[in-house]
Amino acid sequence: MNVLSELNKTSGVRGSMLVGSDGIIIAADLDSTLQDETVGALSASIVASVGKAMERLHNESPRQIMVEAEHGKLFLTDAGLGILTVVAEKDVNIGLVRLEIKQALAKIRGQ
Amino acid sequence: MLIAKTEKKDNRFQSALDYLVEYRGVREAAILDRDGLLVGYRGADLSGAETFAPLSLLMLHNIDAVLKRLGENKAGSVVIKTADSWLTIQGAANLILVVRAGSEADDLLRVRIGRAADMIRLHVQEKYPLQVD
Repeated sequence: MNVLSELNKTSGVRGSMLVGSDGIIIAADLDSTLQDETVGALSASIVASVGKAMERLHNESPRQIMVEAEHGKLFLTDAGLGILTVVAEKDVNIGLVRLEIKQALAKIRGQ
Repeated sequence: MLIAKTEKKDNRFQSALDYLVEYRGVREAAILDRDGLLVGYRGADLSGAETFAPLSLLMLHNIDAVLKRLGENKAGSVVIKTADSWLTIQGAANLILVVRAGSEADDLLRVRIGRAADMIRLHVQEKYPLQVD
C-alpha cells in the first residue's frame, strides 16, 4: 500500500500498518524487527480495551491513542475501515507524525 | 506556624493538580496510587472521579500487558484523543497522574503535565524516599 510507504518516509517512523478491529492485517509495512501479526493483534487489543473504558467513562470512542514506551512510541488511529498503527522511535517529532497520519487517513478514506 | 508549614508541604500534590487545572481547557486532574485509589483530585465532579480513577488505571494496566508482549517496559505515558477531549495518563514515581482536557487545550499542556509529574516525583522522593522506583 502506497500510503503506508509514504508514511514510513517520515523521519523516525519505523513502520506502519492497517489492521481491522478484529486484529486481521489489511496492509503492513513494518521494519524487519517487528512481526506484522503480533503488532496487529496487539494494536487491536489496545484499541478494544481503551475503547471499552472510554465508553464507560464519558461515552466517547477514542480517535487516536499515543503510547510512549521506553524504546519508542506507538500511534493507533481510527481509520474508519480499521486501525492505522504507526511505530516510531522514542525521539520522533510527534507533531510531524500526527500531520503525516492525518494526510494518510485522508488518502485511506478516499481509496 | 509549624502547623501551617506542615500543611503547605503536605499539599504539594494539590499544588501540582492546581498547576494543571489552571491551564486553558483542562477539565480535571487526578493523582492515583497503583491500586486505583485517589490520592488527589481537582475538577468539578469528585464522585465521577471514583470511576475515572480505576478505569484510567485499568487502561494503563492493559496497555502495559500488551507492551510486555512487544518486549517493551511499562508505558511512560498514554494519550487518548476523542472527538472533543483528550485524556493523558502518565506515571509519576509510584503514582499515576491523569489529566482530562477539552479539545481547546493545546499541545503545550504536555509540558505542564511533564512538570506536574516532576513535582509529584520530587514530593514522593522527599517524603517517602524508600518507595521511589
